[in-house]
Amino acid sequence: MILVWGLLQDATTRSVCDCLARLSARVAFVNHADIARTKVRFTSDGADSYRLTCRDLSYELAEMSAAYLRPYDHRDYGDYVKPGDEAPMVGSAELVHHLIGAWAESTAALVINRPSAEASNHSRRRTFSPVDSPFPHRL
Amino acid sequence: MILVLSSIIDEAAAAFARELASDATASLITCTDLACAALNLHHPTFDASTITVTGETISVGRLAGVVNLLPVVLPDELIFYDEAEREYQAAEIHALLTFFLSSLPCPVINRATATSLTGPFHNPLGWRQLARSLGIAVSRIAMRSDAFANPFTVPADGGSIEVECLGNRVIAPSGTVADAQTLTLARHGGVEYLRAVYVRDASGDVRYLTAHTTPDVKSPPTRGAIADYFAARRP
Repeated sequence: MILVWGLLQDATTRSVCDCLARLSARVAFVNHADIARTKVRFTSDGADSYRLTCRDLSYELAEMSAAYLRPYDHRDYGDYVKPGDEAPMVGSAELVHHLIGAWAESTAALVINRPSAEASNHSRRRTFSPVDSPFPHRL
Repeated sequence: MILVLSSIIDEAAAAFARELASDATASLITCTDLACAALNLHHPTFDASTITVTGETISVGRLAGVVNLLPVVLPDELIFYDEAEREYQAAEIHALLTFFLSSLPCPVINRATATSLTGPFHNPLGWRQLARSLGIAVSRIAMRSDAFANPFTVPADGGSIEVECLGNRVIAPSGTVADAQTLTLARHGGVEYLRAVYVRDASGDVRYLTAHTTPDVKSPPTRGAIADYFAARRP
């Protein structure tokens, strides 16, 4: 199965999905705009396991043979709710990005592209908070 | 000159910069300094670059080292910009620091990469995966994006082992396998400084939990090790 994580409104992602459909490939499309309804559960009992759930669809990422990842800044979506001043720095959407990124870095599947390979494209990235930030809340 | 790069709220960093300055030329530098004074970066002739430190313009070639205590540039660092402007400026300064810290010819503890300002990984999962790939036993953890409980929190029962290394040397050996494992992790991660945390499982075996790439300058042994590190590299 091939994981596609992005927006169908994006012509590139749409063309990838169209090509995969023509090839009758098994595709797990996860709409990035559904980030508020996307969950990832990571466990490490024995082998590492990443369970990705979006609405009523659920996938074990270890079953993916390939992935095309095209994430966006979830704060640009209409349903984004700005966290309050006392909210933890790492919210659910950030954790989805962290965990899918961690899976993409470690999996043997073909990933286009692993986050580290395109990191320099994001040198001006908006400052998502790292899980390891020393600051428990905003300054 | 040694620069201590830190957050504007990091009082320990400011104290450490004063401590370093008693023995060598050293100065604290923050995002405020970077934004408010001239920093001229050149590519490909990086040697021609200059930075302004406490009002003085100096060549990057005069920098003897950098202690990088800034894992991320948060918009809230940039209080002198309008609030609407801070996020964009933070991203710009992040990009600038990535180039600056990865280009400097002097020792940097730790050097920035495209992934993180203080090392090769954006979050502790990357270090955990590196540890696993190196055959280091890791602790079992679980994370849920919808109900986050930090799995890298050190247990309160005091059973953890913390090992710091700097420049391929363990600062205060624990006498366990964690010492060699931390050195291995730092070497393969390409960092000068690493603080790795281990826990014991039910069998008493040491298992890797997490790692930190920002030096703990509240710790006197760490401060001493950093001072020694630069003293040993003084021309």
